[in-house]
Amino acid sequence: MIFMKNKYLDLTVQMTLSEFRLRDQGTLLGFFWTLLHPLLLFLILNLLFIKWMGKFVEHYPLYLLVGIVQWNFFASATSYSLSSLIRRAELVKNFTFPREIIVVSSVLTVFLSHLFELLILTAFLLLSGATFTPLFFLVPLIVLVQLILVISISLPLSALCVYYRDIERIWGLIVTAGFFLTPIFYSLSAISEQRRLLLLLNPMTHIITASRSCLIYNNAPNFSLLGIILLLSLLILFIGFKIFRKMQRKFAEIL
Amino acid sequence: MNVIEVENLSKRFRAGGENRTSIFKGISSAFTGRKTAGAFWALRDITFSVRKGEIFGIIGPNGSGKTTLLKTIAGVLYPTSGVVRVSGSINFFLSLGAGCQRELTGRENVYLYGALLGLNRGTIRKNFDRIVDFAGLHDFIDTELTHYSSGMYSRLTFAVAMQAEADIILLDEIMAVGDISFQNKCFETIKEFRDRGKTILFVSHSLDLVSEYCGRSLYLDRGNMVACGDTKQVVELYRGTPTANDKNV
Repeated sequence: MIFMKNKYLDLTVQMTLSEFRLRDQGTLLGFFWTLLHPLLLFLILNLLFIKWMGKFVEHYPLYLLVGIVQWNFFASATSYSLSSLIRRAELVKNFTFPREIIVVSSVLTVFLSHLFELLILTAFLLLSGATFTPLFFLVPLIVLVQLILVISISLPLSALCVYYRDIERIWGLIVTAGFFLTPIFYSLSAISEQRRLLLLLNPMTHIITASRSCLIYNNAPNFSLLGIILLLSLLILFIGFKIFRKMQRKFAEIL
Repeated sequence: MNVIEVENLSKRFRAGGENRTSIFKGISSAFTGRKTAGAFWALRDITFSVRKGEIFGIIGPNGSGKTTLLKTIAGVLYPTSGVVRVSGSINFFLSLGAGCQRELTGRENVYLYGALLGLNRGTIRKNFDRIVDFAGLHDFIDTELTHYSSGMYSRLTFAVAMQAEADIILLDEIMAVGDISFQNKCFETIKEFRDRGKTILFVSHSLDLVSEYCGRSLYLDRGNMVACGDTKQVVELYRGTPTANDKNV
């Protein structure tokens, strides 16, 4: 693949770092601003649901927090990279490097913030009495699957977005719906059998569940499910990459 | 030996503004059967070739397709019909400051811009002092680009671009900014490139510069090739003072 080439790896790193610096203003303060949104969401949902959901879910605040952090990466990374080709139109029009680098570096920009969030989350978990277990070491693996999933969605969507600008709005709706269709602030067991199927088809359900079992409940995650998600993401990535390659010829004149 | 061969190249664009379609528009036009976009030809049936080691000029009024031609040769745009054959690596310098981040310092931008041109970090680090020297920006290299003048901007990017080793170099109107001494420096570099067997394609509105440096030139007008050949004759044709037998220059 193209990322094997050293110069493109350099470019991806350069673009990610410079975009990260600009996005968070490169300061600790800027980073805390991006934390504010998930934090506020956590405080409100925790306030509303701890009495109710707390009955079904052990360690509800931690349960909620892991859910929000993991969902937040999915939502913000896809939304941010979706418009990356439009945002960096100038690059598309004046350079010939592979365009997928623009999309991937946008995802990685958000991913960097996500890594910091995960660090803070882990620290918070340990401070609030969770014990450090070897299962913590599986979290990077889960996060990697999540990253591949996000890239596989972002590539074809960002290409389509060049042609159809309203994809951005539509994806916004899907992400909003996804927030409610993922067990973030409620538990799967609280949903009736038939409707649960809808949630189980959502890959983020399994990624969040796996993260929780490693970080909070000290249970081994369901590896076969993660494997299926990984394979599916790789398949979508492959198809998405083909679509992207096919569409990219016209990017420079449409943008 | 020809390093660039352009054969019957045509490029059609959809009319501006109509490109920004939406799914809603797409669906509604499928029902009404109305096509939204018009089209115009930015280039029509262009055929020419450039030899190795040449400095080749492209002239013509605004909107004649000069930049589109360069971009098609560079591989940013794809031909609607016709063929562009390029043998060797291409480095191009299309629009000033494209790819720079104004909020970052000159130093950071040297690395970023270099990476965009396909230079790896090691190469840039090795040549960093030379780049800054060439751009003459020692005192401003740690200043954010927001505070740069457009001349400084172009000096910095040009200095980086010249580090990218390529067989063919495409330059679009680089002399529009930058003072005389920098312009001279640029041309010294360009001549040095030519002496090392590199090929340079050069778009400019300055007929004096084209006459001085380019052996052969191409004259475009509204996407059509008016003339191609010896610069002196092409430039004279462009100036509207045709020589005696200019029919087949």
